[in-house]
Amino acid sequence: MSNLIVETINVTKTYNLGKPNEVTAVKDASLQINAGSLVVLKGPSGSGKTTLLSLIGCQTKPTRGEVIILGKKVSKLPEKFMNLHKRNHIGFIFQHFQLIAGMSVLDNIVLPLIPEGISPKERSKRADQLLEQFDLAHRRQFKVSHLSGGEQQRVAIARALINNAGILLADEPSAHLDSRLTSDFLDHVKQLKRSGHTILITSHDPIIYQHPAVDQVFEIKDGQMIS
Amino acid sequence: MRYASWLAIVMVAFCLWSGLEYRHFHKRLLETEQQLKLRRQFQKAVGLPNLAITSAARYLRHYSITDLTTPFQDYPASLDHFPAGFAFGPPDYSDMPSPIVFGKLEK
Amino acid sequence: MISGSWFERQKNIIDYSLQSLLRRRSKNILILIIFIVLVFAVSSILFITGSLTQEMMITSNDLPDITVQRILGGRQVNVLSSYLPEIEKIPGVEAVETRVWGYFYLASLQANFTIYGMDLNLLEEGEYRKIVNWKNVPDPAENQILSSRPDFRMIIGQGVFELLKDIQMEKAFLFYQPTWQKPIPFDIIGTFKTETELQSNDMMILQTEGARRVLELPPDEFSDLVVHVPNPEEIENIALKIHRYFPELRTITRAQIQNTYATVFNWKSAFVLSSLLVAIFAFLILIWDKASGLSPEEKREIGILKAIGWDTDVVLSVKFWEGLILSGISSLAGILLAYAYIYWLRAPGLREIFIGWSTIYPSFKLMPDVDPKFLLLIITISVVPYLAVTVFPAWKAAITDPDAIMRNI
Repeated sequence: MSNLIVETINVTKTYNLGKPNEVTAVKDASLQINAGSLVVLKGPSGSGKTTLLSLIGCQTKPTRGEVIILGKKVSKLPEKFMNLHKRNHIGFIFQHFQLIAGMSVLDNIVLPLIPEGISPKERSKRADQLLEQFDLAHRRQFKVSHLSGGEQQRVAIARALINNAGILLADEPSAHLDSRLTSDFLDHVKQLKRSGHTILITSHDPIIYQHPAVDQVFEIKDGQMIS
Repeated sequence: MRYASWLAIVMVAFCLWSGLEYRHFHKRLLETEQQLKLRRQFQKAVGLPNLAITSAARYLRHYSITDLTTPFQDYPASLDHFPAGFAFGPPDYSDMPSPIVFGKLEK
Repeated sequence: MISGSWFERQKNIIDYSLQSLLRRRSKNILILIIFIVLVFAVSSILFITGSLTQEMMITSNDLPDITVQRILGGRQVNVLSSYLPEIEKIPGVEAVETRVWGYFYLASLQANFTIYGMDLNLLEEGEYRKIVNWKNVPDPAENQILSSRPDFRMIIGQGVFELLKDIQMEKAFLFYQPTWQKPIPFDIIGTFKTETELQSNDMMILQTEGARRVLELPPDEFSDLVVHVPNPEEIENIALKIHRYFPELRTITRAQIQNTYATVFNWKSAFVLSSLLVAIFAFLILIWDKASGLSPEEKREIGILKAIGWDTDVVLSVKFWEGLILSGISSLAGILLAYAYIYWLRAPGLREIFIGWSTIYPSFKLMPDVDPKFLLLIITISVVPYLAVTVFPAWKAAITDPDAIMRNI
């Protein structure tokens, strides 16, 4: 049990509660993820996997149930503390990358460090390491809108890693990539797993959930866990 | 250099600029103080009111001792046609007990 | 994870705000320009009208107690000497002074001078001596002709002097009207010091008898009267009394003149409004546009920042700094530019409105009238609404759950 890093207990998320367009995206979902493992959350689109991911990623609070990350019941924390926990432990790679278009690669990567009061010098030192690691050093001052899809994803990964988060969440990482870039992505993920990161990926792409490095696959359908 | 430093430089520049203008302000006030004696002597010697900034017409030059209708004296339908008349509001005698405008009679 | 100091944090936030202002460069520069123009225009008008009013007010306590004019057929006409003993009889009146003054239009220069008649010998005595730069004073030993014509002397304002210098009449001036048989020469025995310029610039002070000749005033008529009342409490009553005894006489008290001084350059006048209308509308459209909501791009940016772990208050600080930097810099620049424009450059362009068609230009070196209350008001009505319409929509966008961003492109 001490190895457990992420746990959800019967979480339910209902959007537009009490309104005519009320919809329950996740229902009584429970899962456990061990530290250092690579886990895939699989399911068709609209099954609620992105919602579950955002619950684990502290992007929203469950309507019912508990989300426990590193032993802390984040779903019960006030927003500010939940945010702090998110900043310190979780890196998020969004499906559409969500980079700020007018800004350079470097500025996008260091964004999470700005409210922490980390000096520009220290920021670029940390960013340079990641730029090197993800082969983006030559794109350092490029605007992100001028990059290819694969490069944009690497920027998004670098941004997720800048605060040394132990848990990495990726939402449909292969949605905008061809098979070659997807396998590049999986190479990066393997590397990250080797360096001790816990990784949770949502996907309905067999290239990802059938990959040998994957430790565990959860399946979700209509908001409910199947396995 | 980072942006915040540029802002600091801009703010310092603004402070210097303000300081410069404040110095000018202070100097001019002192000058006015010194002029005041002469100007009051002049005012005592010549009892006519108002400033000699425009001499285009009587109602502009000696605005305070002409009445509301002065611009129209020569031709009641005429419009105020001097450019400076644009900047001068009509005189306000409304809250004064003395009947001036149109010579309203008191019984 | 290591956190920096509070100061470093604020610096980072300001950095980010400036960066985000610069990212929308063209839009923000436009806002900056509109903002500066508006603040500059309002402050300029406030400065110039405030200063001119102040310049008048400053000597207003030395104005005569009551000025008496005669109105006939709706026109101001000469006062007859027969009024004098009647007014002097009113209790409380110390003295009644007669005045001879008017205007002289010099067609060749298209200049309108104010002619004022008084005993110039008075100006040679005591404190009054100091207001005149005496020159060309006839020396009785050398120049008998000039000293023998004491009625035809005059002292002129600096503006008149400069104008007459151009036509080589700065030592003696010839008054002439086509109906006269011959011109009347006047010796210029001095000019008023430039310190008194705002009052004396267009003035020609003539010896009374000479002034009568120039103004063609009949012997027992005067331009107007001035009544001295020692007790300030009685001024109003006596003015009313004079008017009641002689309905054709119009009285103007010092308080009334001061009252007109306060309202003469009413900055709400048509001039100000019309000149500012465009800027005000631009500003209102801007405010409305901002208040009605963020662009999708801005909304997305706030969502991203929230999703990567920024707190709501940090997002709002960024927006607050953006608004404060933009509106603060423009208000400050607008006010400082207005000061420089009015008091250093002496208001070229705006000055002409106040001068009108005058030919005799004062130097327009005004006494600065900078009221801290007005400055505060200008800053409040420009910075506060702008901050509000910057921060409020951002707040509305920032309080939504960041997971919304995960479904948007």
